[in-house]
Amino acid sequence: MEKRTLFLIYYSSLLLFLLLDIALHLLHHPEPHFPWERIPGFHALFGFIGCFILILVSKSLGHYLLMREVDYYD
Amino acid sequence: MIEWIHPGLILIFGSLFIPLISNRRVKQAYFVILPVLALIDLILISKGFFGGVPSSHWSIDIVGYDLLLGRVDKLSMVFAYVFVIAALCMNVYALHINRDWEHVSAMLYAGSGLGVVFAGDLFSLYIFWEIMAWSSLFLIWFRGTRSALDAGFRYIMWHLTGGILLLAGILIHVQTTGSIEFVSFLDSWGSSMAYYLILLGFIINAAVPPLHPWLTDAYPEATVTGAVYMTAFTTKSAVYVLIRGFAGLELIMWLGAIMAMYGVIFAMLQNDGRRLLAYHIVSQVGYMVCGAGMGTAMAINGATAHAFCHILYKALLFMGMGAVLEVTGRSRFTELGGLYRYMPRTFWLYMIGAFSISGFPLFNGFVSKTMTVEASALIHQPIVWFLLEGASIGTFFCIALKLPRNVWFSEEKPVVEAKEPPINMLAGMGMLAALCIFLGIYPKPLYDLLPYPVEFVPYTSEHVLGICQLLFFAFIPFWIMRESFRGEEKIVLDTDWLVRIPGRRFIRFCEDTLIRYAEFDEKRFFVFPALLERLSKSIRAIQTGYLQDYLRIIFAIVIISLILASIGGMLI
Repeated sequence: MEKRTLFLIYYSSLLLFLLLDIALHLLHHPEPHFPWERIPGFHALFGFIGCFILILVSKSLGHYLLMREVDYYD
Repeated sequence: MIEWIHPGLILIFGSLFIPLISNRRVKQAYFVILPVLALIDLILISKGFFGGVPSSHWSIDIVGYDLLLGRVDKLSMVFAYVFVIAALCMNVYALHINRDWEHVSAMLYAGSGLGVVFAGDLFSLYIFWEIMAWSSLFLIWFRGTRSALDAGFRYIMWHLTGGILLLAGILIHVQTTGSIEFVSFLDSWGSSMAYYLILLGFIINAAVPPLHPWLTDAYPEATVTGAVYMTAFTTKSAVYVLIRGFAGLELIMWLGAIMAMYGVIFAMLQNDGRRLLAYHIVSQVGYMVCGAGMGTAMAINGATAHAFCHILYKALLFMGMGAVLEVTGRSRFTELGGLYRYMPRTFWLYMIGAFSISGFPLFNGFVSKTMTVEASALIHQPIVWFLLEGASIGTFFCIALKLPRNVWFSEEKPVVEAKEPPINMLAGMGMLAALCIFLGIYPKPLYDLLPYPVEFVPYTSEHVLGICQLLFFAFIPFWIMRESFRGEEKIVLDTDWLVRIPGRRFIRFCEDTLIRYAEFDEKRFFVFPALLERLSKSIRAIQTGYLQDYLRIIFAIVIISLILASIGGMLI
């Protein structure tokens, strides 16, 4: 499969999940354990922002504090 | 009629015959049949052939204490099942290896893991605990490289420390309560030093930060097949004893949640494929430790189910990366890329493990991880929930995106010649992959094994949509920043820095002081110089880097401690 087709499928699945989630919240009214679970698309937002935060935290930890040359312990 | 057969002892005693078989085919067949025998034994046990479940067998009276080698209940059975099933697949994967003693140590390791799981008292628990540490050491040392030798040394140091703490805790506990039975310590938690020591011993084996670096240090240095065994038994038997001894302890709930996130953050920085996977053992065991700490029926079920699934997919992941190492001799991202053309089968089998650990619907991680996360929601712990959910983003990022891209893609042309690994390795991976998918689609056999009745439905629209959104949207940041995750030719310091660098300085300091004193003494008294110099030299001579020398020293230490122990026993 071409890259273009793959990405087309990917973008449409993103949209599909969001729409389904909105539909679920409108029709089904799930019983949430936490208030933020009432927001439609919360998990999408969490995945997106959470991933950026993880990258930021780990990269800055690595570059400012923890990364050393390979022979550091020798 | 036989009262009971210990499945662990089938592996332990069975393994001793491996070097005696001369025909290679027979030896291979025997190596696969061993775990099959143990599996048949387990099935007989759960069918009630030796009496119902729960039941107790093999109670041995030693100097007034009852050792109980066979405590059979639902919790021990589910761990035993997954240990034996995993051992079977791993043996198939390791079938082409010709080093008999590596097979022996692998089976001793798996067998003592089973020993821990069935141990009903603290003494036999401790004995199997130690056999586990020692037998797994050889899976590292058989790699034969200098860095493997060194890592093995650090590995056994951590485990010896953990073992001594555990033993001290057990002795104090036995001294104060007079009982060696291994039951929950929750009620007596805080009443005595003993429980802190026992917990420390347990969490060293569970690789809870900051006591985890033995794992991420040693596993990537082990042999290709040895590392696969190591993913399963040490940490998961530690999860078992935590559930058995400390279920419901809030402290370990927090430790577990932090651990899940810690492993992920460090994994993102790694350049070695197997080290990245090792950090994800820390992260995944975090879910289980956290579940044990929550202590509700659903959390315990979740932790147990997750241990079960984790053993299957993590072994699969290590097998996939191990296959790459086997055929190319490389495991660093900076030296790999574009291998898809040569190893598509390995790639797809690996990806089944990657989807499982990410918790995609239809893969086994989904049916167990959601249970643990849901358990944290049910007891209203938003921070724990955020840490566990957030960690699964990073898991997907590292294992399903970063690693496969760097190994199988990322370059147009393959950077190194490669081919598919031997057929038995693919077969071992195939067996695990099939189990991952089977349990993901049809989790009932797993749920029936769990210690409590399961009142949890994994496939609800909320769960499926939630995880799909989480992972699909996490792909965007990866794709934007994919080039900055190509791997860097660096190492990442971890908490073992605190031991390694000051430890080395301390030894230097001692040596320098000795030598300076010797020089001082030489000028004035001529009494000790020769003696001191010899001492200082012999300390250095111990570190020769040859396996035989190390073995000789260890053997001597074992003998001496046995003699000391028996003298001590006579005095008491």
